[in-house]
Amino acid sequence: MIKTWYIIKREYLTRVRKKSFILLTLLMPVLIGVMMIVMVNIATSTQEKLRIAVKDESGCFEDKFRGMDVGENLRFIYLTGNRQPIDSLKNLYQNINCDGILFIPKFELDKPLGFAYYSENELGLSTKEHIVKNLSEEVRNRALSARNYNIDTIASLDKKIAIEQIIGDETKKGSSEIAGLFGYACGMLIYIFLIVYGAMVMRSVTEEKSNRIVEVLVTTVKPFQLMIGKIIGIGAVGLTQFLGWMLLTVCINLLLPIFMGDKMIAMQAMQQSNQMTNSSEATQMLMNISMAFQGLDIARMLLSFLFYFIFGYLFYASQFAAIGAAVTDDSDAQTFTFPITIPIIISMVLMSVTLSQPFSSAAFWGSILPFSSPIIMITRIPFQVSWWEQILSMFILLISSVGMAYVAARIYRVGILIQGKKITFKEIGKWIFMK
Amino acid sequence: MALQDVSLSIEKNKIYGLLGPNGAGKTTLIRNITQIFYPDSGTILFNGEKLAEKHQNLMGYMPEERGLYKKMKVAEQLHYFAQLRNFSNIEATQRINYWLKKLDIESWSNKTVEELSKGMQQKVQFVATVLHQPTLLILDEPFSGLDPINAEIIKNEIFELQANGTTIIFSTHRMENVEEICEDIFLINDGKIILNGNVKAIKQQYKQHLIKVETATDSESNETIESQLEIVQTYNNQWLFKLKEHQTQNDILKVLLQQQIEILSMHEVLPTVNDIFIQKVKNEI
Repeated sequence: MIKTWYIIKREYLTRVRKKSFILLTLLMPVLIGVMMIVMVNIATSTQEKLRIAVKDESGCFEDKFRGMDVGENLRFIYLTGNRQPIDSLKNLYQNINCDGILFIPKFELDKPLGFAYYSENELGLSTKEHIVKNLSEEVRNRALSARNYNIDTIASLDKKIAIEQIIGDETKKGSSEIAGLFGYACGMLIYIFLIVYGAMVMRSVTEEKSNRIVEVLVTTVKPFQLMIGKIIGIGAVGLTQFLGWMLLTVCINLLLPIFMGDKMIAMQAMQQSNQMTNSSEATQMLMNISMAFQGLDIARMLLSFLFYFIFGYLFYASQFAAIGAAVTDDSDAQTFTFPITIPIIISMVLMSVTLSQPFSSAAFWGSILPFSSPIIMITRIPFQVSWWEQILSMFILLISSVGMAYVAARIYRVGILIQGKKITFKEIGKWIFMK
Repeated sequence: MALQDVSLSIEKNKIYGLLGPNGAGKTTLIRNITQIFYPDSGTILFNGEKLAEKHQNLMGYMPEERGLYKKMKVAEQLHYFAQLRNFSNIEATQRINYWLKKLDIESWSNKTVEELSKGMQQKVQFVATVLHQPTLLILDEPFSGLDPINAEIIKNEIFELQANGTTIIFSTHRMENVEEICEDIFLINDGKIILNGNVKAIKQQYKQHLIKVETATDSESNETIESQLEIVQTYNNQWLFKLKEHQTQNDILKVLLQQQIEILSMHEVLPTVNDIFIQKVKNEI
């Protein structure tokens, strides 16, 4: 047992001490942070201190423009009492420190035409949308009033229907979309982990085999100890990297508003005014998110994630280790890893089916069979999968991963000592039963 | 290579040579002894007990192809091997320092293996093999890649280990090393032991009764010599005779003296292990 620990320690420390590991662990969240800063900058740069003069010949929008400013970044200067025609004004907006002039003609409510914006620079997409949305809303309201409709009555008639889902006797809280998104993110994380760290296990085994260290090692430790130590050590490296990324991402998210505070507030204000002018819609969405997380049963999700993460990794890393031990060169490795990666890729396809139909038979079997259960079950859990299904799936995965580790160890113990020989699947099959 | 009916016994404190052509089964035999493989039938006894896992720690094995982690530092690597041999941190450090100092390689301890030359790596590998003071040491081509000075250092270490109670099995193709180091040899071919025993006794057993004589003048044969002696070869002032049945070295001496040839030296030529090796393997084929 202690020897396995030393192997785990070596596998872990040699990797986490590598400059490439430290750089990647630190740089990834920093890169994401930089990307966010760039995005915020891009999003706010078009809004930077934009002042727009408004020449409203219709006189309908004076009140509307009072509430249309977006912080310091987008200001509307409503020209009152100005009699000059737009043809003479359109070149003079710079005299009043404006970046452009918005012209609103006298228009018919049935045909609101002739709206124009004069400037040297084009309007940003979000600014344009912001203006169009507000003006359209005002025109619509006026058209309704002209037809003697009460605007408040019409607004009160605008109802959004929510469907409450009752599963068994329990009322399901939150939205399926958000639950699905959460499941999808977890499934994706496991998928990346299986592929990246499984391949790392294989490379490490092949390396030890090709430089013959393994011949020295197996005179002191059992091949099984060597294999399992390697799998656990590399798995721990992966966990460390994920935890590091999560921690740094949280830190960057907390620090970002300190450095980018005003810009982010401006961006949020912009987004809110663009997309969520209807406050009840925004509140509903926020409620959905928070309820989705309440309804998720975080403890169940977290523990299940850990379980599928660990045993899914053991299931696949064992196969990768066996292949690494059996092959002697890279081209062989590719041939043999293909059958292993197929179930992982199929699981990815099944994931989208699961999201749209979480209780279909494809999703059910995908979450029961050990080849796909680590990815599919974790995607399904937020949809409140019944306990018996999850326990069955976990039990099968547990047995299968231990069984797979046993079979892999039998292949491994023979494979690591075979040099310069072309290996076939038939031969690998023989090694499993070799005494 | 599968082994068949291999039976041999190894005495404590001796140095054995394990010889055989490529693919003869040497590595398979070693792997059986080191418990990397288990025999389908038969038993291996260690100190009179059936070979078991507990004996692994009493053995040291240095394979022909060197096995070290290229990116790891020398001291760190040796520490790892010592830990796998169940040494505590303190004990491991003490032993590593002792051996690094003994082989004068202390200054390499913080270098990674890939920074070292092949010969240097060889010395590190040797330390990794003997660190735990094994009772049975198996060395596969321990001198490959070593310059004569370092080969001498390792050879002396092998003798010192033997003097301190270690039994050594030495697998090699370099026959001069076998004659120099080994007391006993095993010759293995096609999975079978075809010759084993004491090196001196085997040489006697396979001798061709050849006598080499060095004379003061160049060797010139004549009818009298040729009628009484069997000449195998002459070269400058050297003669090589093969003794006929019932002949002794004195008979050669007598004939040459009768011819008034001045003799500088005379000795029996014993076959080298290399000659015996080639002869036995060829006969087997």
